[in-house]
Amino acid sequence: MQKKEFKYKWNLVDKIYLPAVLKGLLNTFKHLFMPSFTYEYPDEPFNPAPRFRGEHRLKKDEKGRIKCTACFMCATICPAKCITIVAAPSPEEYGSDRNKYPAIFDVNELRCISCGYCEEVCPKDAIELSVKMPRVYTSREEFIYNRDKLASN
Amino acid sequence: MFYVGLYRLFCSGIVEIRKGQRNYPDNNYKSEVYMSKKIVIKLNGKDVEVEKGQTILQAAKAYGVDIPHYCYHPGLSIAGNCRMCLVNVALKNPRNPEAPAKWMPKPFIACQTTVSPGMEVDTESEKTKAIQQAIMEFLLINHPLDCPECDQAGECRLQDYSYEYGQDRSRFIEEKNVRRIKNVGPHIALWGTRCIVCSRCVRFLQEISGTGELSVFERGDRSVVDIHPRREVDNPLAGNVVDLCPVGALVSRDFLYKARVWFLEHTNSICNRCSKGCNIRVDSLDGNIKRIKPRMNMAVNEYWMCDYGRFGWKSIYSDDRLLSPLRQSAPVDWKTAYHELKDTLTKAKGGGIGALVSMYATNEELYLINQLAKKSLGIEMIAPLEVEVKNDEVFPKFTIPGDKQPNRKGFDLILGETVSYDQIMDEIESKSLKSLIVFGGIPDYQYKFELVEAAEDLKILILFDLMKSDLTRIAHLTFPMLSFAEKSGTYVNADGRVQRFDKAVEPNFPAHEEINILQKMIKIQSGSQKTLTPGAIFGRLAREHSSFKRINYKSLGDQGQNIVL
Ligand code: SF4
Ligand code: SF4
Ligand code: SF4
Ligand code: SF4
Ligand code: FES
Repeated sequence: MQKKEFKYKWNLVDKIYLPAVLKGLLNTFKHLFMPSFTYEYPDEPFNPAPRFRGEHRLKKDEKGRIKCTACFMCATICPAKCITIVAAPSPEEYGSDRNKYPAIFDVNELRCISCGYCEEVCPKDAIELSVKMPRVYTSREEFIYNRDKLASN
Repeated sequence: MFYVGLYRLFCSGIVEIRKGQRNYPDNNYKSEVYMSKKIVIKLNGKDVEVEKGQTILQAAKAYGVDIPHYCYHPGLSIAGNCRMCLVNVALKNPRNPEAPAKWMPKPFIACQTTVSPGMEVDTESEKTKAIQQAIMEFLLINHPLDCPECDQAGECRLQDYSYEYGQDRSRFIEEKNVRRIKNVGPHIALWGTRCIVCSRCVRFLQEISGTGELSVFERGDRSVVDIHPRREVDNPLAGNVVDLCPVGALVSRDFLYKARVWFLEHTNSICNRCSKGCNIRVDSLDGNIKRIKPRMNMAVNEYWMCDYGRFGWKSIYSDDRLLSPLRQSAPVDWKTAYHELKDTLTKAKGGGIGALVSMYATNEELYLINQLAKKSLGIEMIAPLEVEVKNDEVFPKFTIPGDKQPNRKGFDLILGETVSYDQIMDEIESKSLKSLIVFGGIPDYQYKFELVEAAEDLKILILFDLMKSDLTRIAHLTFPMLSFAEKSGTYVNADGRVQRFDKAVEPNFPAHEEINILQKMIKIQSGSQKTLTPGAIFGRLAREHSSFKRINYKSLGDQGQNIVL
């Protein structure tokens, strides 16, 4: 089938240009009186929707132990490769039902692209992207959150 | 006539049994298919030719049909207790071979059932799939959902088959049978709950090592593998049960939680801890060795390896490793060291040079040493730096040689006639030997006191070694060596099999390969020469030595090749 060429026919109103410009200006002007969506952040608190993907958090179970068992699923799936885990046998106070825990669990928040895969893949429901807005620091090292920081995030 | 016929029938039966072949229900039936070595069976509706006496599992494997299995292991006896390999089978009536094969009412285990002519095997119909799914459900009844913290995850048969043949839910709502985690040996931990009681480990310890430390205790779904009271799985072959275990029930205490297996990089290598030359695989993560596993080679180690080799790599990360060249036991950079080497060799030239060469040197290094001795430097006497040969450790189906040196054969073939160690010692004492080159590289080795004492009087001592020792204190020039995992080369094992090992990890210090240092030494003596790779050096070796004829560095592959005798 042959493609039909479409040709727009310019009428007089189009050729003058001005009505279109005025139409646009009218739209802009209308927005001055509409409710505003912007926040005066950080003076005004930011309350995002619960599914917002902010900073990471390591969850704890009812006994106060970190839920994560260092299974490396998140580190494997992470497309930005920003999770570093070193596994170790869990300490005494974790009890006999927990054998493995992350001795080191670092997330580089600068590299993270907030895709949320880590949260989705975790078999223990141990990591989540909280509603916290990413914070601001003055050095790169501070963006690497360690285990305890993530747990208390 | 009748009695003669009966007697012959009886005898033919015995002959059949003697040959180790299966005694078919009716020996009277001797059609052409029974007589020939090859028989035709129908595998998933296709006619295939298989060997008589094979099991269904082996026959199917030859045609690329993998039947799932846990308890079957080619190196062990057949137990047939996991039932994962169940397949539907149709058999011919031997009395009436013309009739079509009849489907049996119940499935057969493929690992133990031998093929018979006209047999039909079905491994993929809905009916067989339902059986496999049911077996998976049974096996997982008491199994914990442990994968996140299980070391086997990623190379676990239970995971793989669950994914391939299982289902995503279990109907078991009763309480699970929970077992304790315990250490059953210096290197092995047992996670009882994960065990599927395939008895591979039990059979290995009974048949291969003959030590029998593990057994299956209790009955029914309570049954579990455990250790006999007051015993430990501590025989030198124990590490193999970890590789054997299809699930994460037996795990290595050394490797526990060290790495997730899917991150590991695998390199084919050869164990250098004894003259057997077991084929191994070096698993490394970020350039650090994490574990060593045996690799199948039916001509050498079959499926196994010993624990000396399995944990021998630890010395690579010892604090005593030499990390840079030393001049009078002070660390120097490589440039200075080569400069010094030039001066030293010029001084040494002109008689009275000897060499002590260990049998841990690769064929390529030995070839270059030979070049150095015969052609360029003129080393007058070469003697082996030998490690004491102990008694062989003999197990029912595996022998750990007492000769711990991986390349004695290569040493003898390439260097030919050498003098003895004592002769060199005498020459040093009588001051007719003024310079000595020691080519060591023996892991965990202590030099003999006489040698250290005698070496003090030498004019020149050039040392190649892995570790700091008494000799590094007095050597005029020391070069750090690389371990077997950090370089490539070939060894000839005690049976005369040339085997290649590849570089698995980068050394974690600025290192130069020994062959490059040796080539530098040759270059200093006889002018410019191209620096060759191990492969090129092996090529020259193969051209010059008749034993290595027709062996090519590349074509050695991962299974090695026998030398020409
Ligand atoms: S959100 Fe995505 S990029 Fe960020 S840590 Fe998780 S998986 Fe990695
Ligand atoms: S996926 Fe979950 S349990 Fe596994 S390492 Fe990451 S946070 Fe821990
Ligand atoms: S044995 Fe396999 S299936 Fe069981 S917990 Fe370990 S990895 Fe998972
Ligand atoms: S410990 Fe492993 S090898 Fe031994 S019976 Fe259990 S599952 Fe099989
Ligand atoms: S592999 Fe056949 S029964 Fe286990």
